[in-house]
Amino acid sequence: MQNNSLAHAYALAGEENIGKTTFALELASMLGADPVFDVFVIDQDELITAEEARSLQSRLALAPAGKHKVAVIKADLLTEEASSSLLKTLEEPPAHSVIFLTTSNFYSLLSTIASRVQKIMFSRGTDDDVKVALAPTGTSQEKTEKIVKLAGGRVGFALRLAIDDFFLELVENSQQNYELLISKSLVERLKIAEKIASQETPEVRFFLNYSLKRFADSLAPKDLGKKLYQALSDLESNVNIKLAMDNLFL
Amino acid sequence: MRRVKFILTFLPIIFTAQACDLLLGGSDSSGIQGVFFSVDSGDSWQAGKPKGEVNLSGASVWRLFVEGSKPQNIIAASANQGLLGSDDHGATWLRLLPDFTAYDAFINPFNDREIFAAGSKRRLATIYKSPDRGATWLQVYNEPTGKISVTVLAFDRSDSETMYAGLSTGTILKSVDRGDTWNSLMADFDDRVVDLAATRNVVYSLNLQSGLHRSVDGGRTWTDVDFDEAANSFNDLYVDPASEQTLYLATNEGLYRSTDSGQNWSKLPLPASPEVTNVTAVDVNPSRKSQIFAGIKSTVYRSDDNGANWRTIQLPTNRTISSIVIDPFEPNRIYTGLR
Repeated sequence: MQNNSLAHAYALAGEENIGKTTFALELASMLGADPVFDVFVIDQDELITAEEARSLQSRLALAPAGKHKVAVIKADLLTEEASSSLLKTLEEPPAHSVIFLTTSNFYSLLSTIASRVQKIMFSRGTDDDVKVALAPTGTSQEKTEKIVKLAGGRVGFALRLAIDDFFLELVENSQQNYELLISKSLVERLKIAEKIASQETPEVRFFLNYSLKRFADSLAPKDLGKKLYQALSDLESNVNIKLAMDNLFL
Repeated sequence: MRRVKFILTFLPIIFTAQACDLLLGGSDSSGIQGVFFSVDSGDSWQAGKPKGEVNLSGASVWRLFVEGSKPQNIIAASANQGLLGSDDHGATWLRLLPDFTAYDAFINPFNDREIFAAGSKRRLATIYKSPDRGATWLQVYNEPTGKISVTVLAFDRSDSETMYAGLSTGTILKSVDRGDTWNSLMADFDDRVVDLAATRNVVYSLNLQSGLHRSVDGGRTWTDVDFDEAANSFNDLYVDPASEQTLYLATNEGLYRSTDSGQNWSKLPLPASPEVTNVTAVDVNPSRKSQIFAGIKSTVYRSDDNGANWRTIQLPTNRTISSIVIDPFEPNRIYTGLR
């Protein structure tokens, strides 16, 4: 930025909730992109359609209200057709535009896209990094300590926990349930299986995905990963949730 | 903080077909308030339609806000119908927050889960924050003295943590924690705040009678912006996102522009009759800076050449245009709120 030599497109690569989108939005602000008129974020949970990717070209082509137009796109959600449309935009990027593709796996990008973007890798920070990131949010010391433990160095995740009490509650519950899942007491495990099964499907899905991430980071028994995948698969196939949870916690 | 929970979850990202009830030329539409929208740069207008129990045509709308990344989502602050929302480019509207006199609202552009609404609840100045797109609401500010309203709400366009609010008494509030807590600034003007704009440390406050004030240190100290014209009532302010030196001021004596932070002003030649000069709203197309919109009573004024020439479009109502907003990505899509 200081040398005025920005690329038109960047791939911000690193695991989820590590701060890639936060970084992109901060940079958009520093570039003078108006947050309402110039910044275009696609980070919903659904796949990005070819039509959405096509509309990107015309949106970025408009004159900026501020100094730049910026698109932040969760590239992991691009369909094949959407990737092809995006490629056209990357081949002929509109003036004043900067595109940030966020991805948890840089190598999952089409090679034609990967070759047209500048790669920036994101890795987990330290607990101190998380504390520094939380400081401007005015989070209490007690809550900060709690969040630091849950975040495991993921700055973006920590910031979301700091501002979204519902999300914090969900993560705390999932963490407690995960700890019970890997505990040795069968009675306790079955009790918690019943409790989880009584929750709404999205909450159960969140717990399973959270547990999978924790499993990947830990030294939990090897068959746990298989069981978690099976439970997720059961959930998507509309298998009785109670049955799926019993199988998981047995 | 008091929490209010509603069954509604606002703004799914679903586009539904627009209603196509063209009102221009309708026989009896006088007195309609609510929201009108245009898909042809204001040449023709349609009225939004209510969904559920909303009395949209009787809604006194004070401010509209279009969500940047998902411009099909629009919210309208209404003094008598609460906070209203549309997820189909203004075609249909439902109520998001009832029993609330709303004067201003926005969806946080730095965190689109959050919606803020300002106004009064049981005649007490109140700011609500929803952390989940309208499913639940937290009362984050409550002024204990009665008969006061929060009239304006603004986010700093370059800082996701900082927000400002203005009261009917002239007091200005600031939050540096994303709207969770609010503190009064030393600036305590005596008249209603009608608009606020903030970028980095530069903050403008437009007050109904005392006019425009500027702070260059995040609201700690303020100076009056010179304005030697005849106007004595100020209604709306537009600050160019690319340069905070370019300002538009809607007043009871016409529309003014400054390109040097208010040191010099020029009056734009709106073709209004001498007795009808009260400009109540102004906006500039974010992607076509030479296209300017203004509202006088129920007439929309549009200039395509930076204010040199104007065309007028009369809305089918006698009400007053309070807010004009433009879709950030479809520059022909314009919305007006009426009160």
